[in-house]
Amino acid sequence: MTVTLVRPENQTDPLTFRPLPTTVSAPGVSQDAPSAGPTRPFGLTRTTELPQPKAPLPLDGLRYDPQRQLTITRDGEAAVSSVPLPLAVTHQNTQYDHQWVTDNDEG
Amino acid sequence: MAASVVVITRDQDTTADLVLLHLLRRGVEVARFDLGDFPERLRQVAYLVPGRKRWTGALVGQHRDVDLSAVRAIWYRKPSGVQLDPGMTTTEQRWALAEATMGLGGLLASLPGVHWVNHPHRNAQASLKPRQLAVADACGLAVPESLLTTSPERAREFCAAHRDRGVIYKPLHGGPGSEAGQHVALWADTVAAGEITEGVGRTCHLFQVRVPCAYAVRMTIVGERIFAVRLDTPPGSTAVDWRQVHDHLTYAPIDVPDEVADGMHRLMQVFGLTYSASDWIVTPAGVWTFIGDLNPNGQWGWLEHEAGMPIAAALADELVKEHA
Repeated sequence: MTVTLVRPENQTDPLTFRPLPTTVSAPGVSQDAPSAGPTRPFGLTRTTELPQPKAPLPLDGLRYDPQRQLTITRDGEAAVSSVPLPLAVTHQNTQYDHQWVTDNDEG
Repeated sequence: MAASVVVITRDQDTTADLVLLHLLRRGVEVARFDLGDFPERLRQVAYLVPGRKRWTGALVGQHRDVDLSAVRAIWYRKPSGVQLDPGMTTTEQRWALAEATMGLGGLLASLPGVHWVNHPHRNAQASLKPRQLAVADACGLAVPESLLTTSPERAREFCAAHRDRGVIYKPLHGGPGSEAGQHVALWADTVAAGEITEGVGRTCHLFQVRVPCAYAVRMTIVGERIFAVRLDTPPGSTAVDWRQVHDHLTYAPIDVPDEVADGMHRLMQVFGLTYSASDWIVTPAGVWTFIGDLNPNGQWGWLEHEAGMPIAAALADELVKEHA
């Protein structure tokens, strides 16, 4: 039996025509247990379990300023030019970047 | 003054902030919004008047508007999803989501004379690894011999035939993210014939003859400019995929051979891209090999930080320059 699940994260489904593709910064964690034997796609037999994501970094005082369209510090300075922003890492894709939120999208 | 540059991304996208700073310092009028603002906090009012040949009107935000007639460039980075009224039923939300994305996406796609970095439709085409590899080969770039199959038998044969050099399995899209309550990764890695299961038949699988690796390169292209960074894994590392040892990589700017640069510019032209962040392997003999990771919307901020690549300034240049 085929079951079609419709979830909000389907906005990232690569097989759906997406006039405006989007990314999910904090997708849920699947509880699905792997299938046994030949039902299991070969590619998924190659997955590696990752450590739990790092604890959130303290970001007190940083906020997005919709007027300036930038994230700013408590002193009103642009965060990227005044704070040594931590390099957050996601282990899933090549998306190591200047961001303090884990970025789970492709590329 | 109406904004000529539109940036579509999440509020928390601080990589975008790097480019915004360059634009603001140059006095460029920029309108930044996230699709999460649409349709409840970002209103759309657009008219097609017969004979005018284009939609006119505005996206009306809480803090600024986007005059559709003034837009000259759009940087489509990493927006979050459309946020709908939670009071709607699931059926209502599904319908409203489709209408919202078709309506706003269609409007933006119809704007004439807009320079996209990159248009999401082109990103979608350029994200298809089988097409990337074929186009790269046609553009004169070195690519690994590859097998795309649902046949376990052919996969075993391929692995056996190339056991002297080894074979890599790599996903076509990425990993599942999580399973059984755990975060999981799916990296490119070596595979032997004896490891192939009947599960190859469950979906498409990509196998490539392993390319001998002296070092890896991330090549970021912005318009005509190329920013290439050599990535070295730590001594003794056996990682096939440099993402496995991300925290221990070392970085150095590197020049791209002319023939590789020419081939990549041809490839970018075929896909209609202004930006990409492709991954390469350079063999001990010095052959630059495109391995099927074009990353048309790939990350770059960490390379600006680690290797001093002025990519943010280049993106700002690209967004403001005059295009025919």
